[in-house]
Amino acid sequence: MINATTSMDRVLTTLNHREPDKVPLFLPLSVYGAKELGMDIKKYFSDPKNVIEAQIRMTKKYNNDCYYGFFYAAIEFSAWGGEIIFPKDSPPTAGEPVLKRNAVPGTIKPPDVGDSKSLLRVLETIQGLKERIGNSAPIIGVVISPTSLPIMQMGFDNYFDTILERPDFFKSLIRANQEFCIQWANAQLNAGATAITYFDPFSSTSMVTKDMYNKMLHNIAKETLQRIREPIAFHLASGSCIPIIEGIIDSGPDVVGISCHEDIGQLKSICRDRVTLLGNLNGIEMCSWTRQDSEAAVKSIIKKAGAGGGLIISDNHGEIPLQVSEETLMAVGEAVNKWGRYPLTWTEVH
Amino acid sequence: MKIELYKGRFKKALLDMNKDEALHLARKILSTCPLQDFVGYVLVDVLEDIGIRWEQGTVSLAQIYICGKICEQIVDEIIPPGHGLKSYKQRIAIATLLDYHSLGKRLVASFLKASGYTFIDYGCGIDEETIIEKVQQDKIDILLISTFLYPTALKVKSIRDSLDKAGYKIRILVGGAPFRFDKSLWRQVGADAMGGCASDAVSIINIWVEEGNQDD
Repeated sequence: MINATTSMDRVLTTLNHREPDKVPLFLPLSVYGAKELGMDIKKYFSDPKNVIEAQIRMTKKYNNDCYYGFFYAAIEFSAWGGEIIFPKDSPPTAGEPVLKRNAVPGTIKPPDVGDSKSLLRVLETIQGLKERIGNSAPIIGVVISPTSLPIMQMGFDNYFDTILERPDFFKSLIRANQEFCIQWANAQLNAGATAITYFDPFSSTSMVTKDMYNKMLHNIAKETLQRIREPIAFHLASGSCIPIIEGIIDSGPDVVGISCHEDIGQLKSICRDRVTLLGNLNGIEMCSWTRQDSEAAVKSIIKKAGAGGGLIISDNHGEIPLQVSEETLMAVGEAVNKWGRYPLTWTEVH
Repeated sequence: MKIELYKGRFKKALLDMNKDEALHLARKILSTCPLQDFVGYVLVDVLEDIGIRWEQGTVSLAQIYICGKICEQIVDEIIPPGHGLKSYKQRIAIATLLDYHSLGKRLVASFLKASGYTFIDYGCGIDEETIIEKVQQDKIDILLISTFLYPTALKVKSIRDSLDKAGYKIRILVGGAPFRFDKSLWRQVGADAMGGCASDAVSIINIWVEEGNQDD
C-alpha cells in the first residue's frame, strides 16, 4: 500500500496498478453543479465562474477525487451548428439533427474549437480550475468519440443507414469528426485538463456487433487515441464491452468506463495490470437508493475489483442525475472511505 | 417442416443484416403458408426471439434496427396494401417524449408494423401537454411512450395523472434506457407496462389487444 497525500497521488497510484491509501472515487458531477448553486441550468453553464465554484464545493463535500470539466454531451453538437435544448431538470440535450443523410462526402468540415463560445467556456473553466487546485487532483476533460457524435449530428437511424449503405460518406463523416475530436481533446489538455474521458457508447456491443466494431470502429478509436496526449479513459457510457475488451485495450486507453450490466469481477480478471476500471454504479437506480443500498453497491464493486489497485469507483454513465439525493452521494463517499481502505483485508476469503 | 427450416435461415439472414437473403426467404416461406401464418408464426416469432437476445446482450442495437427495417419492408413489399393482418378495435399511438433520440420509437414502430398493427405516430420531441391533448382528440386506447433521459421518464407520471383526472381511460406502455436501468421505474410513473425491447412491446400490445377483443 502506498500512502497517498492527495487525490492526484491516489489516482496515479491506482492507474499504475498499485494500491493507494484507498480506492479513488470519481463522481461525475456536471449538471449537478447547478443544484449545488441553486441555479437555473442554462444560467449555470453560461459562466465558467459558476462551474468552477460548484466543482470546488462538490469535490470537497462528497470526498470526490476529481474535478469534472465536462458541461454536457450536446455541447460538441452545438459547435457543429446544432441547437441545444435546456430542460429545467435534466442535462441540456441535442435538438434536431444537423446533417442530412444525403449529404455529399467531402463537404463536411470540422468546426474550429476557437469559434465556439460554448467550448471556449469549457476551456476557461478548466483553466480556472487548474489555477485554483493546481496538481492536487485530476481535472477531467471530455470528448465524444468521432463515431458517437454522429448519433446527435444525424439521428441514430440515419447514422445506422449511412454506415451500412454509404461507406464513402461514413468515412468522410468520421474523418471530419476525428479531426474535431483530436483538436477538442488537446485543447482541453492545453487548458490544464489532466486526462480525457473519451465517450464512445457507439462502439459498445450494446450498439454494434463485435464484427462491426472490429472491422469499422476499432481502428478509428486507435488512431484517434494515439493523437490525444494521454491519459485517456475509454468510456462506454453504460454500454457493454466484454466481447470487445481486447480491442479496446489495444486502442491504448489507461482506463475503461464500464456498464453496471457487466460483471466487474470478470472484467477485472481480464484487465488486471493492463487497464484501470472505472465504474460501475447504476446512476439511475441511485436516484432511489437508501444509505444501505449505496453502501452495498460500493462494497460489492470493491470486493470484486479492488485488489491490486486499477479501480476507480464511479457511476456507469458519466453523469450523476440531478434526482440523486445529496445524502446518497455522501453515503457513496462514506462507503468508499469505510470499505475502500487498502489493504482490503476484509475481502480475503478465510 | 419446410417452414421451420426456412424460419431458421430467415432469422439468421436478419441477424446477419442480409436484406436480400431475408427478402428471398420471406417470399419462399410465403409460398408455403398463408399470409396470416407468415406474420403470426414467422415474423412475430422471429422478432420476439431477436428481442429477447438483445435483452440478454447477445444481439446489438444495429441488428435490432436492421431486422425491424427489413421486416417493415417485407410487410410493405410482400403483403398486399389494405390486407387486414390484424383485427382489433383499439386505437394505438406512439411518441418520443421531449427528446430527439427517436431510435427507440422507430424500432418499436417497425416491429409493430411488421406484426400487422397500424398506429398514429406523434413523432419525437413532443411535450406532455401535447400528448395529453392529442390522445384525447384521437381517442387513443393504447399509448406507447419512448424516453431517453431519466427526468423525462418521470414526466410520464404527469401524463398518467392528467389523463386519470380527466377521466380518460388509456393503457400506457413505456420504454427506453431509464426503464431498463431501473426495472421498477415504470410502476413509479404510473405506466401499465414496460417494454424491455421492441418485441417485448409488441408482445404486450398483443395481450392488450386480445383482452380488448374478448371484451366485445
